[in-house]
Amino acid sequence: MGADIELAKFDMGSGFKHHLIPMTWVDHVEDDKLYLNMTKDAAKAAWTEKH
Amino acid sequence: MGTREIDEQHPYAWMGRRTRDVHDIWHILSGYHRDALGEASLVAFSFAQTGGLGWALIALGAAFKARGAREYPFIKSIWQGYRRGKGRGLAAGRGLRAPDVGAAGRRAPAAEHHPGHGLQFDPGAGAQRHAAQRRLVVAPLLVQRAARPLASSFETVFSALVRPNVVRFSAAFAWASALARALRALLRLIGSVIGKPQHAFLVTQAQPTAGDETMIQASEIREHMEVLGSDGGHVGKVDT
Repeated sequence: MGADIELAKFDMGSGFKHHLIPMTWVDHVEDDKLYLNMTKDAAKAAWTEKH
Repeated sequence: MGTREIDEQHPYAWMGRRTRDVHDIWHILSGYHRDALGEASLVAFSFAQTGGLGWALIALGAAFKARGAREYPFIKSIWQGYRRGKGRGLAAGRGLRAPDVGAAGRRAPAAEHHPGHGLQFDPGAGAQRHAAQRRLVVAPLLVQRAARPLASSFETVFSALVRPNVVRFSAAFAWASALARALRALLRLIGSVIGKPQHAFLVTQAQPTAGDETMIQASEIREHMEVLGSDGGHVGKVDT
């Protein structure tokens, strides 16, 4: 397991909760966008909710 | 009362100044030194005298900090300070006047008119006092070393004798602990804001695994970056 990335709580996609996704999910970074190597639904199904 | 400043003639203001001023005098009269033990004991004495919960908070804090000190009966000394404060009437109300002049125009013997005489802080002079101090140190140690059942029965009797004081101390402790909890929560809140990491990611394993060619350097990821899935769907944004 690599490092985790914390996602913002106040974002429409996050459901107003902090979530963590592992660095290994990151495919590449382009400009100000971070692309994952899985689909949106797959990422949201597997991300970790931060308490 | 509102926000109006209390007039200096007000009894509360008088009491506040009085308490502040007699504190150092009480150090001298009580024999409690200005070290940590003396301060803590005198603070407990002051709580018994004035009922100010601030004194109790400091005394309880000192007792809490000293709870692990087994080489010296720190807590018992604080408790003794409280007991002495309870047993002396209101020392804060006693005057510290010059010795009275007797009817015959002679000064009465100094021993009878010592400013602290009415307070009777000093259990005795010289050897008597040292013996009392030795008892203060040695007696609790002996009790601690006594057999457990004996100590237990001693505590039962002791607690029955001092129940009113225990109740009073318990109320003060409840106030103090509630205040401490609130303060701790506030500090934690402040700390969480101040100590928030500048970067969004928490490095749980700093070293990249060998052979992992897809590993992205953490420095490439910046806050507020939009996170997208491989299908272009919006997943979220990197936290601040």
